[in-house]
Amino acid sequence: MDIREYLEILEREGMLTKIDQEVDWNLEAPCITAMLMRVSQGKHFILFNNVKGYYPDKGRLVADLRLLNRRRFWEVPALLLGLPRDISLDDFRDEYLRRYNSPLKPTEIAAADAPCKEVIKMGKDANLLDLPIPFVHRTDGGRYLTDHWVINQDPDTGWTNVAVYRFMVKGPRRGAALWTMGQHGPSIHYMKYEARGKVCPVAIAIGADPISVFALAVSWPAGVCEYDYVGGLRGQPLELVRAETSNLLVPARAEIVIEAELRPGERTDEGPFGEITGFTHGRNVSPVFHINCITHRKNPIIPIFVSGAKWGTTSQSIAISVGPDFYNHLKPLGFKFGDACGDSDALTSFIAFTHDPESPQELNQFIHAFLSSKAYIIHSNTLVCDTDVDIHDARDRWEQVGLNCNPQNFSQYQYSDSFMYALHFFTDVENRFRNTDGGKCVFDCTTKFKNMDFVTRKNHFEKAFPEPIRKRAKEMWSKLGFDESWEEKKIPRPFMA
Amino acid sequence: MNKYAMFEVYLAKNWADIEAGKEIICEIFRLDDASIHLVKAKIAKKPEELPGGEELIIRNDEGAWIAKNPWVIKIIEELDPDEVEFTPAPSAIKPVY
Repeated sequence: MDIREYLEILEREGMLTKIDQEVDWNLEAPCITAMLMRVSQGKHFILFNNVKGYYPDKGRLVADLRLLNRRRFWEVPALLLGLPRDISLDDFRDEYLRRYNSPLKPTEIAAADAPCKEVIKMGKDANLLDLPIPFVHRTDGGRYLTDHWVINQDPDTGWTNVAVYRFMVKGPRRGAALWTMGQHGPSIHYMKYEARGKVCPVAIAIGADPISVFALAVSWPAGVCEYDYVGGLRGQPLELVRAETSNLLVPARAEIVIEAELRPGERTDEGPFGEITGFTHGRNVSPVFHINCITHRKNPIIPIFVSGAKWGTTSQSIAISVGPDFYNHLKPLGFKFGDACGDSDALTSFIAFTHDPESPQELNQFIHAFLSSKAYIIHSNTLVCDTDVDIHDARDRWEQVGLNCNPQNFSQYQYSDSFMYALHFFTDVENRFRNTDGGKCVFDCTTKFKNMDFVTRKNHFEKAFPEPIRKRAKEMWSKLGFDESWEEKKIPRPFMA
Repeated sequence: MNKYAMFEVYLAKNWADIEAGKEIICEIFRLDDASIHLVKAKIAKKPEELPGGEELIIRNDEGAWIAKNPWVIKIIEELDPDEVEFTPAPSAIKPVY
Protein backbone atom coordinates (compact mmCIF):
# COMPACT_ATOMS: atom_id res chain seq x y z
CA MET A 1 0.00 0.00 0.00
CA ASP A 2 1.25 3.48 -0.73
CA ILE A 3 0.19 6.77 0.76
CA ARG A 4 -2.32 7.49 -1.99
CA GLU A 5 -4.07 4.16 -1.50
CA TYR A 6 -4.14 4.74 2.24
CA LEU A 7 -5.65 8.21 1.74
CA GLU A 8 -8.37 6.59 -0.38
CA ILE A 9 -9.16 4.23 2.51
CA LEU A 10 -9.29 7.17 4.94
CA GLU A 11 -11.60 9.02 2.56
CA ARG A 12 -13.91 6.01 2.25
CA GLU A 13 -14.02 5.79 6.05
CA GLY A 14 -14.95 9.49 6.22
CA MET A 15 -11.72 10.28 8.05
CA LEU A 16 -9.97 12.51 5.51
CA THR A 17 -10.33 16.28 5.30
CA LYS A 18 -8.90 17.97 2.21
CA ILE A 19 -7.95 21.60 2.70
CA ASP A 20 -7.81 23.66 -0.49
CA GLN A 21 -7.22 26.95 1.29
CA GLU A 22 -3.58 28.14 1.17
CA VAL A 23 -1.53 26.94 4.13
CA ASP A 24 2.10 27.84 4.77
CA TRP A 25 4.77 25.13 5.12
CA ASN A 26 6.51 27.57 7.47
CA LEU A 27 5.02 26.64 10.90
CA GLU A 28 1.35 26.95 9.85
CA ALA A 29 0.78 23.43 8.46
CA PRO A 30 2.80 21.91 11.35
CA CYS A 31 0.76 23.95 13.84
CA ILE A 32 -2.54 22.67 12.40
CA THR A 33 -1.06 19.16 12.46
CA ALA A 34 -0.08 19.51 16.11
CA MET A 35 -3.56 20.79 16.97
CA LEU A 36 -5.04 17.83 15.14
CA MET A 37 -2.75 15.50 17.06
CA ARG A 38 -4.05 16.94 20.32
CA VAL A 39 -7.75 16.82 19.61
CA SER A 40 -8.65 14.46 16.80
CA GLN A 41 -8.41 11.11 18.60
CA GLY A 42 -7.38 9.53 15.33
CA LYS A 43 -10.70 10.30 13.69
CA HIS A 44 -9.48 12.92 11.24
CA PHE A 45 -6.56 13.32 8.87
CA ILE A 46 -5.74 16.37 6.78
CA LEU A 47 -4.40 16.64 3.25
CA PHE A 48 -3.08 20.14 2.59
CA ASN A 49 -3.64 20.54 -1.16
CA ASN A 50 -2.55 24.16 -1.40
CA VAL A 51 0.85 24.72 0.18
CA LYS A 52 2.13 28.28 -0.09
CA GLY A 53 4.63 28.56 -2.93
CA TYR A 54 4.07 24.99 -4.11
CA TYR A 55 0.53 25.11 -5.52
CA PRO A 56 -0.76 23.66 -7.81
CA ASP A 57 1.65 20.84 -8.64
CA LYS A 58 4.96 21.15 -6.76
CA GLY A 59 3.89 19.22 -3.71
CA ARG A 60 1.37 18.71 -0.92
CA LEU A 61 1.53 17.93 2.78
CA VAL A 62 -0.44 15.41 4.78
CA ALA A 63 -0.84 15.63 8.55
CA ASP A 64 0.24 12.70 10.69
CA LEU A 65 -1.00 9.65 8.83
CA ARG A 66 -0.93 7.30 11.77
CA LEU A 67 -2.67 9.26 14.48
CA LEU A 68 -4.30 6.82 16.87
CA ASN A 69 -7.66 6.81 18.56
CA ARG A 70 -6.92 7.08 22.27
CA ARG A 71 -9.52 4.48 23.23
CA ARG A 72 -9.36 2.15 20.25
CA PHE A 73 -5.66 2.65 19.53
CA TRP A 74 -5.46 -0.36 17.21
CA GLU A 75 -8.14 1.01 14.85
CA VAL A 76 -5.86 3.09 12.61
CA PRO A 77 -3.06 0.47 12.61
CA ALA A 78 -5.74 -2.03 11.54
CA LEU A 79 -6.63 0.19 8.56
CA LEU A 80 -2.92 0.45 7.77
CA LEU A 81 -2.67 -3.33 7.78
CA GLY A 82 -5.71 -3.56 5.51
CA LEU A 83 -7.84 -5.04 8.31
CA PRO A 84 -11.41 -4.01 9.18
CA ARG A 85 -11.66 -0.95 11.39
CA ASP A 86 -13.96 -2.71 13.87
CA ILE A 87 -11.59 -5.63 14.54
CA SER A 88 -11.14 -6.57 18.21
CA LEU A 89 -7.87 -5.78 19.96
CA ASP A 90 -7.14 -9.45 20.56
CA ASP A 91 -7.66 -10.34 16.90
CA PHE A 92 -5.61 -7.35 15.77
CA ARG A 93 -2.69 -8.31 18.00
CA ASP A 94 -2.73 -11.93 16.89
CA GLU A 95 -2.67 -10.87 13.24
CA TYR A 96 -0.05 -8.20 13.90
CA LEU A 97 2.24 -10.67 15.67
CA ARG A 98 1.72 -13.30 12.98
CA ARG A 99 2.74 -10.86 10.24
CA TYR A 100 5.53 -9.45 12.38
CA ASN A 101 7.04 -12.92 12.60
CA SER A 102 6.58 -13.63 8.87
CA PRO A 103 9.04 -11.36 7.06
CA LEU A 104 8.91 -11.28 3.26
CA LYS A 105 11.83 -10.47 0.99
CA PRO A 106 11.24 -7.46 -1.27
CA THR A 107 11.05 -7.67 -5.06
CA GLU A 108 12.79 -5.42 -7.57
CA ILE A 109 10.74 -3.85 -10.36
CA ALA A 110 11.76 -1.95 -13.49
CA ALA A 111 12.28 1.81 -13.29
CA ALA A 112 9.59 2.30 -15.94
CA ASP A 113 7.03 0.74 -13.57
CA ALA A 114 8.10 2.70 -10.49
CA PRO A 115 5.82 5.64 -9.61
CA CYS A 116 8.67 7.31 -7.70
CA LYS A 117 10.44 7.87 -11.05
CA GLU A 118 7.67 9.93 -12.67
CA VAL A 119 9.92 12.98 -12.36
CA ILE A 120 13.73 12.67 -12.28
CA LYS A 121 15.98 15.61 -11.44
CA MET A 122 19.70 14.99 -11.64
CA GLY A 123 22.68 17.04 -10.52
CA LYS A 124 22.04 20.76 -10.21
CA ASP A 125 18.38 20.32 -11.16
CA ALA A 126 17.84 18.46 -7.90
CA ASN A 127 16.78 21.05 -5.34
CA LEU A 128 15.40 20.30 -1.88
CA LEU A 129 13.78 23.73 -1.80
CA ASP A 130 11.56 22.69 -4.73
CA LEU A 131 9.73 20.45 -2.24
CA PRO A 132 7.34 21.73 0.47
CA ILE A 133 9.50 20.42 3.31
CA PRO A 134 8.07 22.06 6.45
CA PHE A 135 9.62 24.28 9.09
CA VAL A 136 8.15 22.44 12.05
CA HIS A 137 8.89 24.24 15.35
CA ARG A 138 9.91 27.88 15.86
CA THR A 139 13.06 26.86 17.72
CA ASP A 140 14.28 24.42 15.04
CA GLY A 141 17.46 25.11 13.14
CA GLY A 142 15.96 24.59 9.69
CA ARG A 143 13.32 22.85 7.59
CA TYR A 144 12.97 19.18 8.50
CA LEU A 145 11.72 15.90 7.15
CA THR A 146 10.27 13.88 10.00
CA ASP A 147 8.50 10.95 8.36
CA HIS A 148 10.79 9.21 5.91
CA TRP A 149 13.22 6.32 5.53
CA VAL A 150 17.00 6.70 5.44
CA ILE A 151 18.45 3.81 3.43
CA ASN A 152 22.09 2.73 3.43
CA GLN A 153 24.06 -0.44 2.85
CA ASP A 154 26.95 -2.36 4.37
CA PRO A 155 29.81 -2.15 1.84
CA ASP A 156 30.92 -5.72 2.63
CA THR A 157 27.77 -7.75 3.10
CA GLY A 158 25.17 -5.77 1.18
CA TRP A 159 22.95 -5.66 4.28
CA THR A 160 20.52 -2.78 3.76
CA ASN A 161 19.53 -0.77 6.79
CA VAL A 162 16.42 1.39 6.85
CA ALA A 163 15.73 3.81 9.67
CA VAL A 164 14.30 7.21 10.50
CA TYR A 165 16.87 9.88 11.27
CA ARG A 166 15.49 13.41 11.30
CA PHE A 167 16.71 15.17 8.16
CA MET A 168 17.53 18.87 7.97
CA VAL A 169 17.58 20.92 4.79
CA LYS A 170 20.82 22.89 4.80
CA GLY A 171 20.57 24.23 1.28
CA PRO A 172 19.28 23.36 -2.20
CA ARG A 173 21.63 20.38 -2.49
CA ARG A 174 22.87 19.90 1.08
CA GLY A 175 21.39 18.22 4.11
CA ALA A 176 22.25 16.85 7.53
CA ALA A 177 20.73 14.24 9.81
CA LEU A 178 20.68 13.18 13.43
CA TRP A 179 23.32 10.56 12.77
CA THR A 180 23.02 8.82 16.13
CA MET A 181 25.85 6.56 17.19
CA GLY A 182 24.59 3.19 18.34
CA GLN A 183 22.26 2.83 15.36
CA HIS A 184 23.22 0.50 12.55
CA GLY A 185 23.51 2.91 9.62
CA PRO A 186 25.70 5.53 11.29
CA SER A 187 27.69 3.15 13.53
CA ILE A 188 28.41 0.29 11.16
CA HIS A 189 27.79 1.12 7.52
CA TYR A 190 28.91 4.74 7.40
CA MET A 191 31.93 4.13 9.63
CA LYS A 192 33.15 1.38 7.29
CA TYR A 193 32.98 3.71 4.29
CA GLU A 194 34.63 6.56 6.16
CA ALA A 195 37.45 4.41 7.54
CA ARG A 196 38.26 3.37 3.95
CA GLY A 197 38.10 6.94 2.68
CA LYS A 198 35.13 6.09 0.46
CA VAL A 199 31.91 7.90 -0.33
CA CYS A 200 28.84 6.38 1.36
CA PRO A 201 25.68 6.36 -0.80
CA VAL A 202 22.44 7.11 1.02
CA ALA A 203 18.82 7.41 -0.11
CA ILE A 204 15.94 9.10 1.66
CA ALA A 205 12.47 7.84 0.78
CA ILE A 206 9.49 10.02 1.68
CA GLY A 207 5.93 8.75 1.72
CA ALA A 208 6.61 5.06 1.17
CA ASP A 209 4.33 2.37 2.64
CA PRO A 210 2.73 4.02 5.72
CA ILE A 211 2.83 0.75 7.67
CA SER A 212 6.60 1.11 7.76
CA VAL A 213 6.67 3.12 10.95
CA PHE A 214 5.86 -0.02 12.91
CA ALA A 215 8.66 -1.98 11.24
CA LEU A 216 11.17 0.83 11.64
CA ALA A 217 10.38 1.45 15.33
CA VAL A 218 11.65 -2.01 16.25
CA SER A 219 15.13 -2.86 17.50
CA TRP A 220 16.05 -5.45 14.89
CA PRO A 221 19.43 -7.13 15.36
CA ALA A 222 22.36 -6.38 13.04
CA GLY A 223 22.08 -7.97 9.60
CA VAL A 224 18.28 -7.73 9.44
CA CYS A 225 16.72 -5.61 6.71
CA GLU A 226 13.63 -3.62 7.64
CA TYR A 227 12.29 -4.02 4.07
CA ASP A 228 11.57 -7.68 4.90
CA TYR A 229 9.44 -6.66 7.88
CA VAL A 230 7.56 -3.96 6.00
CA GLY A 231 6.67 -6.73 3.53
CA GLY A 232 5.74 -9.06 6.40
CA LEU A 233 3.43 -6.53 8.02
CA ARG A 234 1.91 -5.67 4.64
CA GLY A 235 1.46 -9.33 3.78
CA GLN A 236 3.12 -8.87 0.39
CA PRO A 237 6.69 -8.10 -0.68
CA LEU A 238 7.71 -4.47 -0.81
CA GLU A 239 8.42 -3.30 -4.37
CA LEU A 240 11.86 -1.78 -4.80
CA VAL A 241 13.60 -0.05 -7.66
CA ARG A 242 17.26 0.70 -8.31
CA ALA A 243 18.39 4.25 -7.41
CA GLU A 244 19.64 6.51 -10.22
CA THR A 245 23.06 7.33 -8.78
CA SER A 246 23.95 4.33 -6.60
CA ASN A 247 23.33 0.63 -6.28
CA LEU A 248 20.81 1.11 -3.48
CA LEU A 249 17.30 -0.30 -3.83
CA VAL A 250 14.60 2.17 -2.84
CA PRO A 251 10.82 1.81 -2.37
CA ALA A 252 9.26 2.09 -5.81
CA ARG A 253 5.96 3.53 -4.63
CA ALA A 254 7.50 6.28 -2.47
CA GLU A 255 6.34 9.82 -3.13
CA ILE A 256 9.89 11.16 -3.25
CA VAL A 257 13.37 9.61 -3.23
CA ILE A 258 16.35 11.81 -2.46
CA GLU A 259 19.69 10.31 -3.45
CA ALA A 260 22.75 11.58 -1.62
CA GLU A 261 26.37 10.80 -0.84
CA LEU A 262 28.31 11.24 2.39
CA ARG A 263 31.95 12.08 1.80
CA PRO A 264 34.51 10.88 4.34
CA GLY A 265 35.64 13.35 6.97
CA GLU A 266 33.07 16.02 6.18
CA ARG A 267 30.95 17.32 9.03
CA THR A 268 28.33 19.99 9.49
CA ASP A 269 26.10 21.32 12.25
CA GLU A 270 22.63 19.84 12.54
CA GLY A 271 19.80 20.92 14.83
CA PRO A 272 18.25 22.15 17.02
CA PHE A 273 15.04 20.21 16.58
CA GLY A 274 11.99 19.61 18.78
CA GLU A 275 12.31 15.89 19.30
CA ILE A 276 10.07 12.89 19.97
CA THR A 277 11.06 12.93 23.63
CA GLY A 278 9.37 16.30 24.06
CA PHE A 279 12.49 18.46 24.30
CA THR A 280 14.41 20.58 21.85
CA HIS A 281 17.47 18.57 20.99
CA GLY A 282 20.37 20.91 20.39
CA ARG A 283 23.33 21.12 18.04
CA ASN A 284 24.54 17.85 16.67
CA VAL A 285 27.40 17.10 14.30
CA SER A 286 26.39 15.25 11.14
CA PRO A 287 28.00 14.11 7.91
CA VAL A 288 27.12 16.38 4.98
CA PHE A 289 24.45 14.91 2.72
CA HIS A 290 25.33 15.99 -0.82
CA ILE A 291 22.19 15.63 -2.93
CA ASN A 292 22.84 14.07 -6.34
CA CYS A 293 19.36 13.31 -7.54
CA ILE A 294 15.70 13.68 -6.58
CA THR A 295 13.02 11.50 -8.11
CA HIS A 296 9.34 11.89 -7.28
CA ARG A 297 5.74 11.28 -8.21
CA LYS A 298 3.81 14.11 -9.82
CA ASN A 299 2.61 16.61 -7.20
CA PRO A 300 4.21 14.55 -4.41
CA ILE A 301 2.80 14.28 -0.90
CA ILE A 302 5.08 14.81 2.11
CA PRO A 303 3.78 13.44 5.41
CA ILE A 304 4.27 15.70 8.43
CA PHE A 305 4.76 14.45 11.92
CA VAL A 306 5.11 17.13 14.60
CA SER A 307 7.27 15.59 17.27
CA GLY A 308 6.95 16.69 20.86
CA ALA A 309 3.30 17.50 20.41
CA LYS A 310 2.37 14.91 23.01
CA TRP A 311 0.10 12.63 21.02
CA GLY A 312 1.93 11.70 17.89
CA THR A 313 3.14 9.08 15.51
CA THR A 314 6.48 8.10 16.95
CA SER A 315 5.44 7.43 20.51
CA GLN A 316 2.30 5.75 19.23
CA SER A 317 4.16 3.52 16.83
CA ILE A 318 6.42 2.52 19.69
CA ALA A 319 3.30 1.93 21.79
CA ILE A 320 2.12 -0.56 19.16
CA SER A 321 5.43 -2.18 18.30
CA VAL A 322 6.98 -2.78 21.74
CA GLY A 323 4.59 -5.64 22.50
CA PRO A 324 5.75 -7.94 19.70
CA ASP A 325 9.31 -6.64 20.07
CA PHE A 326 9.58 -7.61 23.75
CA TYR A 327 7.61 -10.78 23.18
CA ASN A 328 10.28 -11.89 20.70
CA HIS A 329 13.09 -10.91 23.08
CA LEU A 330 11.71 -12.37 26.31
CA LYS A 331 9.75 -15.43 25.25
CA PRO A 332 12.87 -17.41 24.21
CA LEU A 333 14.29 -16.76 27.67
CA GLY A 334 11.42 -18.75 29.16
CA PHE A 335 9.39 -15.95 30.70
CA LYS A 336 5.61 -16.11 30.75
CA PHE A 337 5.15 -12.98 28.71
CA GLY A 338 1.93 -11.14 29.45
CA ASP A 339 1.79 -7.89 27.55
CA ALA A 340 3.80 -4.76 26.86
CA CYS A 341 2.93 -1.38 25.51
CA GLY A 342 4.44 2.08 25.23
CA ASP A 343 2.94 5.11 26.89
CA SER A 344 2.11 7.69 24.24
CA ASP A 345 1.42 10.31 26.88
CA ALA A 346 4.95 9.95 28.21
CA LEU A 347 6.42 10.06 24.71
CA THR A 348 9.14 7.44 24.49
CA SER A 349 10.19 7.40 28.13
CA PHE A 350 7.64 5.08 29.74
CA ILE A 351 6.63 1.57 28.85
CA ALA A 352 4.49 -0.91 30.75
CA PHE A 353 4.50 -4.69 31.12
CA THR A 354 2.14 -7.19 32.66
CA HIS A 355 3.67 -10.21 34.28
CA ASP A 356 2.52 -13.04 36.53
CA PRO A 357 5.73 -13.89 38.43
CA GLU A 358 6.33 -17.37 39.80
CA SER A 359 8.40 -15.99 42.67
CA PRO A 360 9.98 -12.69 43.75
CA GLN A 361 13.24 -13.97 42.28
CA GLU A 362 11.61 -14.70 38.95
CA LEU A 363 10.16 -11.17 38.90
CA ASN A 364 13.66 -9.85 39.51
CA GLN A 365 14.99 -11.94 36.62
CA PHE A 366 12.18 -10.77 34.34
CA ILE A 367 12.93 -7.12 35.11
CA HIS A 368 16.65 -7.53 34.51
CA ALA A 369 15.98 -9.44 31.29
CA PHE A 370 14.01 -6.61 29.73
CA LEU A 371 16.33 -3.96 31.13
CA SER A 372 19.23 -5.63 29.34
CA SER A 373 17.46 -6.26 26.04
CA LYS A 374 18.18 -4.06 23.01
CA ALA A 375 14.47 -3.32 22.76
CA TYR A 376 14.76 -1.32 26.00
CA ILE A 377 17.49 0.96 24.73
CA ILE A 378 15.38 4.10 24.34
CA HIS A 379 13.17 3.68 27.40
CA SER A 380 13.88 4.98 30.88
CA ASN A 381 10.91 4.29 33.13
CA THR A 382 8.80 1.17 33.31
CA LEU A 383 5.78 -0.16 35.10
CA VAL A 384 5.35 -3.86 35.75
CA CYS A 385 1.72 -4.66 36.56
CA ASP A 386 -0.45 -7.66 37.30
CA THR A 387 -1.92 -9.45 34.30
CA ASP A 388 -5.46 -8.29 35.10
CA VAL A 389 -4.51 -4.68 34.39
CA ASP A 390 -5.28 -3.00 31.06
CA ILE A 391 -1.89 -1.39 30.55
CA HIS A 392 -3.07 0.04 27.23
CA ASP A 393 -5.25 2.49 29.16
CA ALA A 394 -3.22 5.40 30.59
CA ARG A 395 -5.72 5.83 33.43
CA ASP A 396 -5.19 2.24 34.54
CA ARG A 397 -1.42 2.59 34.39
CA TRP A 398 -1.41 5.57 36.71
CA GLU A 399 -3.94 3.92 38.97
CA GLN A 400 -1.43 1.10 39.36
CA VAL A 401 1.28 3.50 40.42
CA GLY A 402 -1.12 5.10 42.88
CA LEU A 403 -2.36 1.85 44.35
CA ASN A 404 0.51 -0.57 44.26
CA CYS A 405 3.77 1.35 44.39
CA ASN A 406 5.36 1.86 47.75
CA PRO A 407 7.69 4.88 47.40
CA GLN A 408 9.95 3.35 50.05
CA ASN A 409 10.80 0.60 47.57
CA PHE A 410 11.57 2.75 44.54
CA SER A 411 15.31 2.27 44.97
CA GLN A 412 14.88 -1.50 44.47
CA TYR A 413 14.92 -1.11 40.69
CA GLN A 414 16.62 2.20 40.19
CA TYR A 415 19.87 2.34 38.24
CA SER A 416 22.18 5.22 37.48
CA ASP A 417 25.11 5.42 35.08
CA SER A 418 23.32 3.29 32.52
CA PHE A 419 22.99 3.76 28.76
CA MET A 420 21.71 7.22 27.90
CA TYR A 421 19.48 7.52 24.86
CA ALA A 422 20.71 10.53 22.91
CA LEU A 423 17.29 12.16 22.83
CA HIS A 424 16.52 11.99 26.54
CA PHE A 425 17.38 15.07 28.50
CA PHE A 426 18.06 13.92 32.01
CA THR A 427 21.76 14.64 31.67
CA ASP A 428 23.97 17.13 29.87
CA VAL A 429 24.82 17.35 26.20
CA GLU A 430 28.24 15.67 26.48
CA ASN A 431 26.82 12.61 28.22
CA ARG A 432 24.14 12.35 25.59
CA PHE A 433 26.77 12.36 22.85
CA ARG A 434 28.60 9.54 24.68
CA ASN A 435 25.38 7.71 25.65
CA THR A 436 26.58 7.63 29.26
CA ASP A 437 25.24 8.67 32.67
CA GLY A 438 21.68 7.63 31.91
CA GLY A 439 19.15 6.26 34.37
CA LYS A 440 16.59 3.48 34.43
CA CYS A 441 13.81 2.95 36.91
CA VAL A 442 11.19 0.24 37.26
CA PHE A 443 7.98 0.73 39.21
CA ASP A 444 7.00 -2.64 40.57
CA CYS A 445 3.20 -2.52 40.60
CA THR A 446 2.70 -6.27 40.96
CA THR A 447 0.88 -7.48 44.05
CA LYS A 448 1.40 -11.24 44.16
CA PHE A 449 4.34 -11.31 46.55
CA LYS A 450 3.77 -8.09 48.41
CA ASN A 451 2.61 -7.72 51.96
CA MET A 452 -1.15 -7.78 51.66
CA ASP A 453 -1.45 -5.42 54.64
CA PHE A 454 0.23 -2.87 52.45
CA VAL A 455 -1.42 -3.50 49.11
CA THR A 456 -4.56 -1.46 48.88
CA ARG A 457 -7.20 -3.50 47.14
CA LYS A 458 -8.76 -1.90 44.18
CA ASN A 459 -12.34 -0.89 44.46
CA HIS A 460 -12.68 -0.78 40.71
CA PHE A 461 -15.76 -0.16 38.61
CA GLU A 462 -16.60 -3.81 37.92
CA LYS A 463 -16.23 -4.68 41.61
CA ALA A 464 -18.14 -1.68 42.88
CA PHE A 465 -21.15 -2.10 40.59
CA PRO A 466 -22.53 -5.60 39.95
CA GLU A 467 -23.35 -6.58 36.39
CA PRO A 468 -27.18 -6.14 36.60
CA ILE A 469 -26.70 -2.56 37.79
CA ARG A 470 -24.15 -1.88 35.07
CA LYS A 471 -26.47 -3.35 32.45
CA ARG A 472 -29.35 -1.12 33.55
CA ALA A 473 -27.14 1.95 33.64
CA LYS A 474 -25.90 1.12 30.16
CA GLU A 475 -29.47 0.87 28.86
CA MET A 476 -30.24 4.28 30.35
CA TRP A 477 -26.98 5.76 29.11
CA SER A 478 -28.10 7.23 25.80
CA LYS A 479 -31.43 8.33 27.30
CA LEU A 480 -29.44 10.35 29.79
CA GLY A 481 -28.09 12.36 26.87
CA PHE A 482 -24.56 10.96 26.44
CA ASP A 483 -23.51 10.57 22.83
CA GLU A 484 -20.48 8.35 23.46
CA SER A 485 -21.08 4.64 23.48
CA TRP A 486 -20.34 2.85 26.71
CA GLU A 487 -18.04 -0.13 26.50
CA GLU A 488 -17.30 -2.60 29.26
CA LYS A 489 -13.67 -2.82 30.27
CA LYS A 490 -12.03 -5.79 28.60
CA ILE A 491 -8.51 -6.82 29.51
CA PRO A 492 -6.55 -7.79 26.37
CA ARG A 493 -5.57 -11.43 26.55
CA PRO A 494 -1.86 -12.17 26.98
CA PHE A 495 0.27 -12.46 23.88
CA MET A 496 -0.31 -15.68 21.95
CA ALA A 497 -2.54 -17.02 24.73
CA MET B 1 15.13 43.58 8.02
CA ASN B 2 15.71 39.88 8.51
CA LYS B 3 16.17 38.01 11.73
CA TYR B 4 18.98 35.45 12.08
CA ALA B 5 20.20 32.89 14.62
CA MET B 6 23.59 31.31 15.27
CA PHE B 7 25.21 29.05 17.81
CA GLU B 8 27.05 30.55 20.77
CA VAL B 9 30.12 28.36 20.18
CA TYR B 10 30.93 30.37 17.05
CA LEU B 11 30.96 33.59 19.05
CA ALA B 12 33.37 31.94 21.45
CA LYS B 13 35.51 30.49 18.67
CA ASN B 14 35.81 33.84 16.88
CA TRP B 15 35.65 36.14 19.85
CA ALA B 16 38.99 37.88 19.28
CA ASP B 17 38.00 38.81 15.70
CA ILE B 18 34.48 39.84 16.70
CA GLU B 19 35.83 42.07 19.46
CA ALA B 20 38.30 43.62 17.01
CA GLY B 21 35.45 44.39 14.59
CA LYS B 22 36.80 41.97 11.98
CA GLU B 23 34.76 39.83 9.60
CA ILE B 24 34.24 36.21 10.45
CA ILE B 25 32.91 33.25 8.47
CA CYS B 26 29.85 31.72 10.08
CA GLU B 27 26.75 29.70 9.34
CA ILE B 28 23.51 31.46 10.16
CA PHE B 29 19.85 30.55 10.11
CA ARG B 30 17.37 33.08 8.70
CA LEU B 31 14.16 32.77 10.70
CA ASP B 32 11.91 34.48 8.16
CA ASP B 33 12.18 31.76 5.51
CA ALA B 34 13.90 29.00 7.54
CA SER B 35 16.96 29.06 5.31
CA ILE B 36 20.60 28.44 6.22
CA HIS B 37 23.47 30.52 4.87
CA LEU B 38 27.22 30.42 5.04
CA VAL B 39 28.35 34.04 5.17
CA LYS B 40 31.21 36.40 5.75
CA ALA B 41 29.86 38.85 8.32
CA LYS B 42 30.56 41.27 11.11
CA ILE B 43 28.92 40.68 14.47
CA ALA B 44 28.38 42.96 17.45
CA LYS B 45 26.70 42.70 20.80
CA LYS B 46 24.76 45.99 20.53
CA PRO B 47 23.03 47.67 17.54
CA GLU B 48 24.97 50.91 18.08
CA GLU B 49 28.23 49.02 17.57
CA LEU B 50 27.18 47.92 14.07
CA PRO B 51 24.87 50.41 12.36
CA GLY B 52 22.71 48.86 9.66
CA GLY B 53 23.07 45.46 11.20
CA GLU B 54 20.26 42.93 11.41
CA GLU B 55 18.95 41.08 14.44
CA LEU B 56 20.95 38.00 15.52
CA ILE B 57 19.61 35.51 18.05
CA ILE B 58 22.24 33.56 19.96
CA ARG B 59 21.49 30.01 20.95
CA ASN B 60 23.48 27.53 22.98
CA ASP B 61 24.23 23.95 22.02
CA GLU B 62 21.00 22.83 23.68
CA GLY B 63 19.07 25.03 21.26
CA ALA B 64 17.93 27.58 23.86
CA TRP B 65 17.85 31.26 22.89
CA ILE B 66 20.19 32.61 25.51
CA ALA B 67 20.90 36.30 24.98
CA LYS B 68 18.40 38.60 26.69
CA ASN B 69 18.84 41.15 23.92
CA PRO B 70 19.57 40.10 20.35
CA TRP B 71 23.02 40.70 18.93
CA VAL B 72 23.56 42.29 15.53
CA ILE B 73 24.93 40.90 12.27
CA LYS B 74 25.94 42.64 9.06
CA ILE B 75 26.36 40.23 6.16
CA ILE B 76 29.26 41.18 3.90
CA GLU B 77 29.12 38.27 1.48
CA GLU B 78 27.18 35.06 0.97
CA LEU B 79 29.54 32.10 0.48
CA ASP B 80 29.07 28.82 -1.37
CA PRO B 81 29.38 25.94 1.15
CA ASP B 82 30.73 23.73 -1.65
CA GLU B 83 33.58 26.19 -2.19
CA VAL B 84 34.41 27.24 1.39
CA GLU B 85 35.21 24.68 4.06
CA PHE B 86 33.37 25.33 7.30
CA THR B 87 34.06 22.91 10.14
CA PRO B 88 31.69 22.59 13.12
CA ALA B 89 33.11 23.95 16.36
CA PRO B 90 33.50 21.49 19.24
CA SER B 91 31.03 21.92 22.10
CA ALA B 92 33.91 22.23 24.55
CA ILE B 93 34.62 25.82 23.51
CA LYS B 94 33.33 27.96 26.34
CA PRO B 95 32.09 31.54 26.05
CA VAL B 96 34.65 34.22 26.94
CA TYR B 97 32.64 37.39 26.30
